[in-house]
Amino acid sequence: MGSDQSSLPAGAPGSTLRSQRDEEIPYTQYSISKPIDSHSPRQSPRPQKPTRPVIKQEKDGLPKHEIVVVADGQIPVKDPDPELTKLNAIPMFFPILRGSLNIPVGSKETEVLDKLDHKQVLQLCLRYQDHLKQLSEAVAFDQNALCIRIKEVDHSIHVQNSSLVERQKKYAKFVEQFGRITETLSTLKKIQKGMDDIVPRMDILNSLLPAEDQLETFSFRTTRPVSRPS
Amino acid sequence: MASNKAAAASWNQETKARLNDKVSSNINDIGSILRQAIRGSKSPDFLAQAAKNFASQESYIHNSHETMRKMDLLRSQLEFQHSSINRSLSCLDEVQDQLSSINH
Repeated sequence: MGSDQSSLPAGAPGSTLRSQRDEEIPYTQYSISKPIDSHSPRQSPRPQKPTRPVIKQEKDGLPKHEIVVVADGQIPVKDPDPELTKLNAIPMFFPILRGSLNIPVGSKETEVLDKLDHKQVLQLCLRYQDHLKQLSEAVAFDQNALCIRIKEVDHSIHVQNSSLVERQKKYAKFVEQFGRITETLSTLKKIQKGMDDIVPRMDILNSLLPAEDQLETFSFRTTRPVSRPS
Repeated sequence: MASNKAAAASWNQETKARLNDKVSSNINDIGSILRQAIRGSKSPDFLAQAAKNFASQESYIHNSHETMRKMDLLRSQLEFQHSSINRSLSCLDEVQDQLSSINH
């Protein structure tokens, strides 16, 4: 049977099939190379001419129309074991007992060869313990201070709230009293309107009466005996 | 010759095993020393206590928040009252005029 040339895919070098992707069919380039999501401007799937970086210096000032082929650059290798990497990154240091390393070069005659003063190690550990204690005390102190502050703020907020409540009640009474002013005004207006209505009519009626029964002209002023303290 | 080699190999293994034990016991001792250092400084106790205290403030903070919301409502009510008092005050002048017109 052998290998059929027609069974190869279209783009392979030996095949005689040609698809839309391979041939430069006019007017189809945009529809093929337009990606579905317009955010990733993917290149045309057709093989493109490589860029000419040599000409780049000439075209510095001009707008770039060239197609840039992004080469498969340095993909950062993922860290399989971050802890191992961190361990490897620790710089080299000497142990406390330098003589315990079998260094062929007897550099810097080791002061302490085989004896480790346990008392000093104990002092070191105690110092560390003390350090931790001081740190934790500082943190706990700050936290407690914050707690107290929160309680103070809460208390002051409640005090303010109660004063606002009292003020609001006072003002409610004021509002009610001032509201009476508006009522008074409206009542007075009604009275005025009524009087304006009645007084002319009263005058007309008065004038129609015979002269003896006529009342004096109506005025709002009431004649009252003014009593003065002597 | 072969028995010498076997003996040497087993002696080698023995030293290696003993070194292993020594190293492991050293590391265990270091671990216990550090554990003592950390526990002895009582730092986790202090820190846990501080965290618990702080978490108990949550109720205070919640109360303060609610109170502030109520204060905001009160403030808007006060604003409303203020505007109504202003309106009534502006009618005061009219009342004065009416009274004077009645009296004269």
